[in-house]
Amino acid sequence: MIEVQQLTKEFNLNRKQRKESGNFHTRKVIAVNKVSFQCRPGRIFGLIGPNGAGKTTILRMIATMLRPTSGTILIQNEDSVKHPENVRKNLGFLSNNTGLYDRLTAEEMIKYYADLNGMEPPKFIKRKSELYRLLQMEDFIHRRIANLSSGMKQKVSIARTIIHNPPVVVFDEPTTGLDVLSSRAIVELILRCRDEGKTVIFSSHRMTEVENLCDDIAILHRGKIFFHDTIETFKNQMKTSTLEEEFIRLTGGDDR
Amino acid sequence: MNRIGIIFQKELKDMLRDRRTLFFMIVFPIIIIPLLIGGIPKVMTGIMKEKMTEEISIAVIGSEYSPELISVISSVDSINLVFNLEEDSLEVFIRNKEIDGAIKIPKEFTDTIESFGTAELYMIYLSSGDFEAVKKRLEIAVNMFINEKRAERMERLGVQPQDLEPVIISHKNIATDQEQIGKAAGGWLPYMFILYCFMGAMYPALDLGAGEKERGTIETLLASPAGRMEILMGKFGVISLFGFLSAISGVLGLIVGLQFITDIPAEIVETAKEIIQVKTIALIILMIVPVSVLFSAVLLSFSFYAKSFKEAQSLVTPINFLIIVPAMVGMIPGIELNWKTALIPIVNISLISKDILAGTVSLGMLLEVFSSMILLAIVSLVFTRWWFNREEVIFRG
Repeated sequence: MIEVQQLTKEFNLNRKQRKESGNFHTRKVIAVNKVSFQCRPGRIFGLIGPNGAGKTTILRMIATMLRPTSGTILIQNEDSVKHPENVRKNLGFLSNNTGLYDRLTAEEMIKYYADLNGMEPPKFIKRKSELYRLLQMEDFIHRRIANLSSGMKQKVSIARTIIHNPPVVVFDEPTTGLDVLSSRAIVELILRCRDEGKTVIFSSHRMTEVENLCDDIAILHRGKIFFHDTIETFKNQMKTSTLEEEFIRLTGGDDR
Repeated sequence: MNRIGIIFQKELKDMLRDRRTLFFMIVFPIIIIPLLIGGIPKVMTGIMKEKMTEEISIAVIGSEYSPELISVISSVDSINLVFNLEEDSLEVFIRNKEIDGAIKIPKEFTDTIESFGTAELYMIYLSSGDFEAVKKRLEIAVNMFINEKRAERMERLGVQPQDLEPVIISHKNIATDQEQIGKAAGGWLPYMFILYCFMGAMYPALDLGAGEKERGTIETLLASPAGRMEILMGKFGVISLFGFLSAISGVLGLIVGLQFITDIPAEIVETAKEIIQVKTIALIILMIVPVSVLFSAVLLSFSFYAKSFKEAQSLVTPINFLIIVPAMVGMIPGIELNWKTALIPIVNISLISKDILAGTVSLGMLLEVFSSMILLAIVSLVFTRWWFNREEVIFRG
C-alpha cells in the first residue's frame, strides 16, 4: 500500500538553470505540487504524464532517494521520511536506465541485493531458484554480466528487483528504450507482481501500455494531478475517442 | 554481516576483478621504481665509462712549441694525436666528428712557463648533452703536465708542498650516517608514497562514485535498505585500502630499487639497512593511513559530484598537481619540520618521513603531525558524508 498526501517537492535552481529559465530571480522550481494519491495491493497504479511532469521525482521520493519538501508518503504504513530504511526494505525499484555491475556474475549481482535486504541464506536459495526457473536464467547465472546479451541483462535486473519479494514495486518508465521482447518481459513482471498481491506503481507516457496494464491511474502535468481514479472511470468520462487524445485534451496539449 | 561489510566486500571484489587497474596501482610501482632508481643510473655509468675509455683523436696545433706536453698527453691510453691539420679547418672537422677535439699550443708557451709566468693553452671541443668526456679526458692529461711543472717550480724555489698550506681543516660532522643519508635522500620516500597513494585511490574513487552514476546503478543502490552512510563507508573503505596498498607498493618499490644500486659504498648500504627496520617502516605506514583516508574522502567527493567518469577525471586531474608540490617539499634541503610546518597537510607528512628515516623524529612532532592529519581526514570524511547526502550532488542535472 502506498499513500501519498499533499506531496510537494521544490528544487533549488543553480546559476545556469536560473539563467536558462529566463528569469534570473527565480530561485526555486516546484517539480511536484500538492499531489495526493493511493496505490492499493493487488492493483497496478499508473503515473502518467509527459516528460518533465514530475513522475520520476515522485517515484524517487517514494523510494526515499529524495526528501519531500512537504507532505507525507506512507508505504506499508511506514513514513518515508521518519523510517526510510523500513520503507526501502519493503520496496523493489526498477527504472529504464537501471544498470548492472559488469564485473560481477549474474548470481553475485542478485546475491548483493539479497544481502543488502538482509535475506537469510535458506530463504535466498529458495527464492533465487524460483526466479531462475521462472525467468529461465539457469544457463547464465555464473557468467559475468559484461558477457551477457541485453535480454539476459534484463532478466538479471528483474531478478535483482524482486529477489527479496517486496510487497511494493516501483517502476520508473520501465519499458522506455527497450525492444519488444525486453518490454514484454517487463510487462509480464508487472502483471506477475499484481497477481502476487503486490502494490505496483509505474510511470509511463505510452498510452497503450497504460490501457493494457493499469487498474488505477493518475495523470500528472506540470507537477499537478489532473485526474486520479480507476481506468474504467477515466474511459467512461472520456470526451474523445482514444486515451491519447483525451490525455492531450486534459493537459491542454502543450508539453510545457 | 552488516551492510557496510556487504558493500565493502562487493566493491572490493569488483575492483579486484579489474586486472589492468590492479596491475597499474599495485604491481607497476614495484617494477617501475626499481627500474628508475636502479636501472637509469646503471645505464648512465655504463655510457660514461665507455665515453671515458673509448679511442679519441685530438688534433694538435703548435706541437713544436712544447714537445714535453705532447709526450705527456700521448702517454695517456686511447688518446690519439693528429698533427697535420690546418687550424682553420679544426671546427669543421670536430663538427663532422672526424676528430673529437683539438688543443692549440701558443708559440711562447714554454718560455712563459720557464719564466714563472702563466701560459695559456687552448682546448676546442664540441660538448652538448654528453658527459663532456673529451674535455674531461684532455684536462686529466694536461693536469698531469701542470703538476709536473708545479713540482719543478717548487723545487727551483726550494719550497716544500706543505709550505703552501698554512691551515689544514679537520672535519667532524656529528651527524650520524643515518641522519645524513636520511635527510639527503629521505625526501624521495614520502614523495613516492604520497603520489602513489593518490593514484592508487583515484581510479577506485572514480569508478565507485561517478562510475556508479554512469552505469545507472546508483539509483537502485540508494533504493536498497542500505543507508547513505553505509554506502559511503563501504565504498570509502575500499578506496582507502587501494590508496594505502598502492602507497605501500611504492615504498616496496623504493626498497627493492635500493638493492639494484651496486656502485654505492658499503657503509651507505649498511646505513640503509639500518634505516629499513621494523620501527621505521611501522612509523611510515602509520603516516600513510591518514593520507589515504584524506585522499579517498576528497576524491570520492569529486567523484560523487561528477555526472560521468570522464567529468570526474577532468575534475580530479588538477588535484594531482596540487599534491605534487607539497609532496616535493621533503626533497628541498633546508625546510625543517617545526610546529608550524607540522600543521600543513602533506608538507608535514613529507617532512616527518624524512625525520623518521634520519632517526631524528621526536614523539611530540609525531603526535602533532599524526593527530592533525587524522583530524583533517575526519573533517574531510564528515564533509563527504554531508556532500553525499545532498540531493543536488547525487542527482545533479
